[in-house]
Amino acid sequence: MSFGVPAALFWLVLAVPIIALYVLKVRLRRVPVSTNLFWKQIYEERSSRSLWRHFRHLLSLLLQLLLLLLLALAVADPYLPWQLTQARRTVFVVDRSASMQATDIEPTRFAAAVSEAHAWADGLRAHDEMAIVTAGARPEVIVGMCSHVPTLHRAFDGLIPLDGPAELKPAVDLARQIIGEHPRGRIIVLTDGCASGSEAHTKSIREDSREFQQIDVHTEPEIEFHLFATDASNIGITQFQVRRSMSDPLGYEVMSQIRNFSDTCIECRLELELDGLPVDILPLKLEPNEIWSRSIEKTSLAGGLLSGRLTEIRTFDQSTDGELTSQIRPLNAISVDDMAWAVLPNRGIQKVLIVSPGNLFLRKVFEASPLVAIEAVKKIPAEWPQDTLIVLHQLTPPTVPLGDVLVVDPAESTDLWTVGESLTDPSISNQDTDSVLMTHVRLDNVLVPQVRKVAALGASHVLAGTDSGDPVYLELVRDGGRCLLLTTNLEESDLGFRTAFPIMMSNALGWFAGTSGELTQASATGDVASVSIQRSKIDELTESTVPRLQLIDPNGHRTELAVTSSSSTNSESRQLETVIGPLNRAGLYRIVAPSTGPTGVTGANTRTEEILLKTVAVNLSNVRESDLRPAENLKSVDDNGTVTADWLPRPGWFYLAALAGVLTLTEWFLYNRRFVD
Amino acid sequence: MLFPSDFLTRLEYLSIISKRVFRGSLLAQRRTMQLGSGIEFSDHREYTPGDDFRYLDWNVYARHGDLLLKRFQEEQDLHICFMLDCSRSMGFGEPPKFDLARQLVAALAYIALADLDRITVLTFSDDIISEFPLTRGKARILPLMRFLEVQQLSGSVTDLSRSVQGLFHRTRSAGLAVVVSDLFDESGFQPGLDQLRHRRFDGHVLQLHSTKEADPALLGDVELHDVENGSLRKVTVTERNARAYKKLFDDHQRSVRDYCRNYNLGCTQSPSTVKFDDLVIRMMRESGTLHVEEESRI
Repeated sequence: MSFGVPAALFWLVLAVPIIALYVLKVRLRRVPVSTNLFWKQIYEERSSRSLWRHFRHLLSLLLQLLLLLLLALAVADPYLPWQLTQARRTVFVVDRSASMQATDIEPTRFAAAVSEAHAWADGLRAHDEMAIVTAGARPEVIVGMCSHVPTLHRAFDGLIPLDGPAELKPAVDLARQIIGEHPRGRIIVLTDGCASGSEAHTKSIREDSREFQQIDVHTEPEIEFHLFATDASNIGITQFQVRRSMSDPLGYEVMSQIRNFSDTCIECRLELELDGLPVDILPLKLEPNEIWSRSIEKTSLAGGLLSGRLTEIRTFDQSTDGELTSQIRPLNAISVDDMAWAVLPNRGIQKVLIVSPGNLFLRKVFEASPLVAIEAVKKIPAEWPQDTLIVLHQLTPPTVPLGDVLVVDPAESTDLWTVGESLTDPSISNQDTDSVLMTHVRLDNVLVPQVRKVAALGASHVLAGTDSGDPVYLELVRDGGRCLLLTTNLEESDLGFRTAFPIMMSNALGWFAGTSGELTQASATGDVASVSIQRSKIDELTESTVPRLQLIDPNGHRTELAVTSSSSTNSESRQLETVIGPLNRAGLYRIVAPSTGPTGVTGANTRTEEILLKTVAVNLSNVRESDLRPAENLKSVDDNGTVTADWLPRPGWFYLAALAGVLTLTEWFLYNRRFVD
Repeated sequence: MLFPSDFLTRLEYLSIISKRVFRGSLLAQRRTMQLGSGIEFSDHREYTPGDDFRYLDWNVYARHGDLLLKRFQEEQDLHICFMLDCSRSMGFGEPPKFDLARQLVAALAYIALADLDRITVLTFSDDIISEFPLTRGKARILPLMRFLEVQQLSGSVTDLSRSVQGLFHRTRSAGLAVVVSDLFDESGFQPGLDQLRHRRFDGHVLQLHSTKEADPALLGDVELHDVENGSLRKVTVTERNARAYKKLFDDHQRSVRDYCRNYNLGCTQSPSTVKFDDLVIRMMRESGTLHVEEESRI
């Protein structure tokens, strides 16, 4: 036997004072009494126990010495030689995926897994080491190789399941790296078999294991899968997105997919709400393993947070007479996929000032949009309105006004361009199809008899041009606002008759309005999302080129975001870019510009209220996580039954200390009997 | 100091009280009814040859011609024997029982001497150890005090029966026997007192004990040292043992009281912490001769 702390055996010298005290105790305190007359009567009646009285002091001494020996040995941390040579390295791979929240195993799959992991930690022998790796969207080392059991317990207690999927193979690979080439390495995977691609992963893990075994059978860690799952039924929302209608400016479409992950019929209701107000309630009845997908069209000028919730979930049981009976049962073992969110973009009224001598096509194309409020004048006004798209048709001031400006067929040169001679019958062949301004627009077959040759005085981006390289439709980059320039003469060309013209104008309106698209896509849990935020939203809030932004997760926890700011001259690039994720919680993430000062403090850059910049909806949207039935091949590997520790799983000092406790109680009993008996 | 300077003063005070209130009751004082050469006339009887002519009542003979002999009641002094226990157990307690016992003997002897009784003091343990011979008169109190002062604890056991036998060897006349002891006699106190009764002694038991004997307050492993015979006994005193001891001690005290009551013996039990004069007064009160108003005057 060896000792981890041999110096602790020094405590055995305490035996000397114990023996000394015993000797002193044997020389009992002499008490004079006037007569032994009465004492004699008392003790002669109890003579049958005299043997016990003679030996109990000696027994107490032996117990005390044994107690000291046990405590000294316990502090010395004894271990057997084989424990040193047979020290194990174990890495726990804990599946933290959303399906581990399922309650088909009491209290949850994850809690059961952690409880079993605690039992393993308790069984850690001397010189054994244990590490904890969690499998989520990305593997994470929670505790490196450690022999300190309380640390492992605290680490296990600190684990919580996530709302996202889990990738087992990277976590197992990471566990392999942690174990290294230790001869007695072991990887214990605590999972429910519902990890993403778990079947393939298991196969891959096994194949990798075989490859390792071919190289060196002694260095390949043993991999044990411990399954915490039953064939639980579930129904969940696997897709939930919303976008503005392409045809109806007021409309929007909800794309929803619901799947029945069970072998029974399920009846439920899908309740849609927009900003808390009911939008629709759809009764559903899904056959076993059926997928229900539908695009639901609704109208709303205002945007907001759209939520879908599964309620009134009923299962159908087959009765003995063959009839279906319906009853409400706690079917859903997890609730994270019963709710989904999406962000519906807002549609605001856009004010447009048309300065034109008069063109019916131009006016009608703006009037066609229900989201536009038009004001038309025939002369250049003395003052330019704020927050208004200014459409200059043929009439152009020497200095183009600040703000958003659309110029059509300019007649004069300005501070942004110069007008040259006219081009006759140009052919429009160059077109920037990647620009949102040219989405669904084709100008190559448009007859344009005459085009003014325009040269931009500053930076510009040509959206459409002629064969000769002259721009027909271009974006002028300037600091005072966005500006588009269309050089086509509407009266002489047939652009006004083409469908491309209203689409161009619609794109332009959307571009000026700041909505680059009609879809704010809901992310899936576990994703890492790149988010763009218009710089103009916070220009007035801060002068810093890289403002401070925070991400608030569904639980209210805040994290600082790393923001990158583009200095491109292209106005489309005047946005702040940030990356959020991995998004481990389902719900609504909010990106805010936090307040910069306390309430009541006034200053140029002091803001007392935080500004909501963007809301990102995050849903589980993972078929494998919603399907609580474990992978078939994982069921077969779970042949270990309940995880149990080895015989006498605790370290030696624990048993020594426990035995010392028993001896203490015994000695206390003996001591007490001397006084109370 | 066993007998302080005011001891005699306190004895005199007790004597005065006793004279006023005892009237012979304290120590069962009495006169013998033997007829003899006393001065108090009793009756006549007829002359028989051989009688002393000096006791003929010549006046009766002159008047009536009858020879009658005058008979007188003989006054015989009461013999009081104090048996003082000198065994080593009497040295136990704080203050020692032996000190109180000697003070009590001195006090009671003084009262008796003041009443012209004859007293003797015998010290004993396993047998009679020493003797203060029969004496009479108040003046003998000082020799008695000196005698008591020099007494030492001795002996290895208390044997009251054998000591009473020694008393019988030293005196032929019965009287009052005052036993001052703790009565820790391994063979029992009854045989000794029985012998006193059978020899027509009037007995009075003064049993003293110390508070430590009544409640030893012992607990745990101890070695009991019997101060009387020097024996040692290693015991573990538990709470149950302590309770049993108290019960046995109380039973012993009760048995002494019951014995005395059954055989009409005087009995006084007291811890050694009580002052001797207080104890004497208590004895007066218990004898019924000291009334409340007198006690208040005292």
